[in-house]
Amino acid sequence: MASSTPKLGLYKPGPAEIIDVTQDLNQNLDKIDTFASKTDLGWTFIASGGPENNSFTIDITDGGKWPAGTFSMVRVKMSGRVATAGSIILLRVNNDSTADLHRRARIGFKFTDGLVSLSASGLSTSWHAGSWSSDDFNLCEFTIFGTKVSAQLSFVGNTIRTEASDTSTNNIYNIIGGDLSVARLLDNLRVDNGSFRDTLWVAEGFLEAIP
Amino acid sequence: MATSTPYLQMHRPADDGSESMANPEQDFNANYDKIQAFGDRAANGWEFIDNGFSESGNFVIDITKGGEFPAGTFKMLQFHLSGSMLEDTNALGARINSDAATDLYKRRRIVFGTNGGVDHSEASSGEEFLGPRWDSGSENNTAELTIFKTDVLSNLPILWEGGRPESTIADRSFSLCSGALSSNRLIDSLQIVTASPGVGAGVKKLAWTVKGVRAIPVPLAPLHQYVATDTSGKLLNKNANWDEIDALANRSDLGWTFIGSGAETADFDLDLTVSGKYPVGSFRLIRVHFIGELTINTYLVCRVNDFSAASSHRRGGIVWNASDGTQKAAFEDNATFWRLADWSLIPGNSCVMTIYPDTFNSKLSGIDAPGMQSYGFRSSSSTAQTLSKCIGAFVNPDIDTRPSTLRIGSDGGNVDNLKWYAEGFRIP
Repeated sequence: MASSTPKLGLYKPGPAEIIDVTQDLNQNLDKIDTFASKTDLGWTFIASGGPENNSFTIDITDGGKWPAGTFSMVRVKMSGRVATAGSIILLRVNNDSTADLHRRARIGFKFTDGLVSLSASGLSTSWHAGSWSSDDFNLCEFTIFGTKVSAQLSFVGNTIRTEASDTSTNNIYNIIGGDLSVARLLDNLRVDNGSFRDTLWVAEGFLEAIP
Repeated sequence: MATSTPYLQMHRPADDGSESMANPEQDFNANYDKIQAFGDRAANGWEFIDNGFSESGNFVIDITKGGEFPAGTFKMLQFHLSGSMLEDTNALGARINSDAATDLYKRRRIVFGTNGGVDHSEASSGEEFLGPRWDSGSENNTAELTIFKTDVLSNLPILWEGGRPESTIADRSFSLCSGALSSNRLIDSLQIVTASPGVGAGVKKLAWTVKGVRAIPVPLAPLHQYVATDTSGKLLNKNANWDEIDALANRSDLGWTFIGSGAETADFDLDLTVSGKYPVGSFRLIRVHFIGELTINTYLVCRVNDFSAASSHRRGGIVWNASDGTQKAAFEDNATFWRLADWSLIPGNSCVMTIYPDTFNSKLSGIDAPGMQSYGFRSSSSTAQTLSKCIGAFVNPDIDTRPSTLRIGSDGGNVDNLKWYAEGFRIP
């Protein structure tokens, strides 16, 4: 006796049933295709890593599985700490340290009074992603735009520096952003801080079309 | 004549039987390979866990969903919340596993008034995390909470942002919050409370969703391949595949869904229904990412349903100069469109906008306005980069305020070389 699986309602012939290949199987293929078309595109897991204990590189291609240009955007979330409290996290597209390639913006607000504790803008060899404490409370998340082609990539995100001490003026909420002065096709991202400790990360990419 | 399915391009034998299926191994197995590749892509990443409507008071979200997802299944959790409070003076708060141990929660919060001032700031320890400040009069307060390291016993660092686009202009604000535990916990539930600090009466009406990233992915098992000579095994093998594929659909069918993308050289209408494919009300959340430039230095803006009645769009926001941290602008008013971010006329500007249209879902009777949060980066070839945080609400009692289209443009100019990517969050 025929039955169907519950979620998609796929046709399941019974053991003794003679199946009509072209009708029954095609119905199943149509249902699977509809499901895939709804869920396949959008944010897709690329890779995760850590605990990192030094500077590290996020391979956006995941070893060639996703050729550069597969994703329209790339999103990264990180948690961890640094051995050298207050040291800056640098982000470098393709580890390219060409002078003035990276245009950056960063503002930090003190949680203790809400006032600006630091700010930075201008051109450099990397983007600034804020600083972390040596306590394992810190977070960073950002999205890089324009990664489908060689482009002046843009990014925006947030970095949280949390100290064990509630009264420290180094408890900081950073808003971060930046772009490139010259077009690049992203295939890896260097996340630079020589004193990362216990740092975990997850990278995702945004698919516009079936790869 | 054989055809193929439109998305995965699977081989589809002719319905009229005209095809001899001379090479079923090749035909069927090519399909299985395509399904397998899709399954590999769908196995990782964010997975829908649960959602709720019309919560009131101080309530608990069961991350395990009654044991379906044992504690530790997900390594990261993200909640989206919208609604209102019972008391204007309070903010959202949260407790891990309803644990109210003394000073368990290291909490950090800044509340910015959209007039540019700091309404509140706090770095303290207490009996709950401190979240965004909300109000009691409007149902369009918004919040996004992300909890990290949820697969193990950990200090569970959080990032929590929210907006309060209420009717009283002077009371509008957005909150930037964070925190972590002072001792480790394995999360299995989240208690949503109101906290100022100190637990209050709770929320008046709140809708929520939660999703997670699995610590251990559940890939689609290798599909059985069709073997033409295996007469007795053919049906068994095919049915085994259907079960596997169906299990994948159970895990992957809900949550964020790609709506569409595009490239524009002038102001444009973004059709959230995709010509009727997604009827109005299909999505619990709508998110659009933008990268591009404007024809003049001004704001990237959005008008819901191209509805331009005066005061239909509540808005507020702050733009900071990155060079010295001063405020380039702060605004709070009612207008005919939202401001999303300060942009320039060179490439490299970016913006993320999230709309919470669920707040007027028919299941939430009496709630009539969507909330919005956005943030963005303004490009500059020298040192004039800025960073923006904005909030908004769409209000009109006489029309259906559920978004069907978004008119995207600039405040006094035009968009140029702009790319957009839209997603919607589907719930059961």
